[in-house]
Amino acid sequence: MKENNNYLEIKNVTKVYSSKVAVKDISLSISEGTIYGLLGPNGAGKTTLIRMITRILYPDKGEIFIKGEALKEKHIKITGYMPEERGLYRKMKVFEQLIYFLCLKGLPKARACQKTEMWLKKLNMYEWKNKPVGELSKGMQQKIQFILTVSHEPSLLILDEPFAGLDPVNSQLIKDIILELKASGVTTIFSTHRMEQVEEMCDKIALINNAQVILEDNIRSVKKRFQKNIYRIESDNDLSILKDIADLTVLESGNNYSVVELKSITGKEFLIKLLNKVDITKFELKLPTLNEIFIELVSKSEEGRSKKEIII
Amino acid sequence: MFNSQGLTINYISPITLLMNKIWLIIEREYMTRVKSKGFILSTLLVPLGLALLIVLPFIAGMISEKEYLKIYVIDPSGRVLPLLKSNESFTFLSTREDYDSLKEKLRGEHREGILVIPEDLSGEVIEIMYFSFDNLTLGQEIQLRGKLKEILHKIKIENLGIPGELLEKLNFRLSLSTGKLSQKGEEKTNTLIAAMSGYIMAFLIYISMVIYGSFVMRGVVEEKANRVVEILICSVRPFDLMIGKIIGIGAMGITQFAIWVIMKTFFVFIGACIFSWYSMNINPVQLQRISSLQSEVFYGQIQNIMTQFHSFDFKLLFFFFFYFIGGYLLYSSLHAAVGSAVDQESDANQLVLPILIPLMIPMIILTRILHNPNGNIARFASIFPFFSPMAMLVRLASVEVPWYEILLSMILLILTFLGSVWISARIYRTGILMYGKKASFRELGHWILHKG
Repeated sequence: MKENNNYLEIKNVTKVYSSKVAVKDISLSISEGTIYGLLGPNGAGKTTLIRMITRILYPDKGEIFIKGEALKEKHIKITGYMPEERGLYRKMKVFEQLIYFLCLKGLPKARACQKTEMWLKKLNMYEWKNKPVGELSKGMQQKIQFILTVSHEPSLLILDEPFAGLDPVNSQLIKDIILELKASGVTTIFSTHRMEQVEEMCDKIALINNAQVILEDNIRSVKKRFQKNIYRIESDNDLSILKDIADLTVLESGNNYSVVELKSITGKEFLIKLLNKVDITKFELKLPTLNEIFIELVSKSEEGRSKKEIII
Repeated sequence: MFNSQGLTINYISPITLLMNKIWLIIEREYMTRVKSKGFILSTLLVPLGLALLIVLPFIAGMISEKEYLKIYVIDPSGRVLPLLKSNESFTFLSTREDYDSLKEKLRGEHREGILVIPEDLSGEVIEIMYFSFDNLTLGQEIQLRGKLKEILHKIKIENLGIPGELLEKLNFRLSLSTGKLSQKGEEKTNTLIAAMSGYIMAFLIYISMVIYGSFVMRGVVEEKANRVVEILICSVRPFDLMIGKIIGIGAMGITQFAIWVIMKTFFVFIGACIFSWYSMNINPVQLQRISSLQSEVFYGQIQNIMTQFHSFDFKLLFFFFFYFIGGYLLYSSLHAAVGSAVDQESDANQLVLPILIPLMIPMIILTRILHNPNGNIARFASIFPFFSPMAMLVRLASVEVPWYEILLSMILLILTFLGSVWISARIYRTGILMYGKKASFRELGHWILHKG
């Protein structure tokens, strides 16, 4: 039952380069039609993992399945991959280039033409179709790269930093298309360092550090798991009396707000006590941002690692 | 609007799909290059340059103005001066003045000189002196020396008492024709032309290995540097990408050669037309002047060369293309491997050296092969696969090479290029994804042995 729901299944995959382990026994499952965030600091092993999904590299151990089928030649056609380091032939014209890459993906030429035209129009790039790519601005090249990734209608999309170098208008355009594709059932793997985008778009995330998955869950439960007893209180009254109400530390305070961490009391109890003393305009459980979680987890695992090294 | 029906594709057999992809790569590599300005320019300019190189000395010789020189001859014996005939370069004058007064007279004159001939012309060493305020040009000196030697030779023979008519009978022309004995009978051959055509073919192969090899290398580096390669290899296998590039650039090379062959035939035709028209329009006086002994030999030679170059030796042409393709696959795949191992073209020099050295060695020993095409060095070089594309052609052009040596050489070349394509593909596969560090030879070894 569960197997059917998972579009992509990575099982105990390990990849070792001559000098170091890039991916160590990673298992992930990604359900169909979701956006999955792959997070992690530089050099954590994300790119190696992605390269194994796109069949650029082969795992030393473990297997990868798409819809229950081990990765095969035919899966080339259903994957769209946009690597972090963008690359196009600079002297080749936009249209020619897109057709070439689509045909390499296995599309017949007529269909490639049709798809290319449609996508160029959709991204407002049609008038540039006979320009050499090298003459386009960076943002435009980025859009061409995006067209290259999605125009053969892949059912698995792998995007590495898709918004890098785009202005807000074009970022929004691309974001809308990704969501549109999601609605039509496309599964997306999304790798980025920009947490606000992850929070906004991803259904589920995996955090990779030192070749291993150190966290995998959907965003809401991740946040719940890392939630602390921190509240933000806004009031027109003087908030300096907060310390007298309960055992707490003030983390931050301003003109008419305070952020406090409760020590030996639940939020509910605190609120009841609080209401007796001051008029509050806002009382909010402060969830950690993904950014904070990310930094906390990574530095923790670094600490653990260095401790281990010392013991060894 | 979007339907992801990616999995329900029509079934196409994997082989056709694969061939289709390699074909696409070949097509792109070929078309972008053939359509480029560089290709068109080089295709037109190289033969033009070669033609100029051949024709220019002739033209220069024709139009160069002759330096006119007036020479006073002090000839106490009185035997040399009568034989010194003036021509368009030299005018020889007798003089009664002595050397010192002549020297005063010549001061400031640029086109005058003094020739002092000794009285005694019987010694083993005859010292003749020439003085002037300007140095003689090399051409003038050679001409003068030749004239004097001829005259003194005559005088010496006269001194021995041999009459003039007998002397005339000593002149003769030598013509050494060489023939090759084969089953079909005697074949006329021309050793010089055979050696020359062998040399030209070897040189063409050497140059094209270097140039087309570097095209392949640059193509790989370019794809790696602008990061297209990562997008490409999620659609095609690295091996297909490499072999597609090699074949595409090779096809471009063959196209270039084909155009040159056509151009050559065309130019030879035009040249022959001009030549025959020219010789028909020469007036009799000029004709007489040309048809001295020397020019007769010269034109005979030219005609001989023209006919020999004209008659296509199809056997040789076949071997040329075989060794061209074999050598190209061998050397270009190695170039591709080097290209994949570096980030920038400038880093490639160190790695490309081990490829260029085996290419250069047969060119260095080429004269030895020409002198002794059946010697041990020649036989080894024509069989050793890194040298054979150049060395074997030189031998084939000049001597009858035993069939088993040809067969061995061909088989070894095929095996070697298969091996080098395999090894290069393994380096390429790993190399194209490696950035940032320069690969050492040890690492390259690692990449070859490393599995998928």
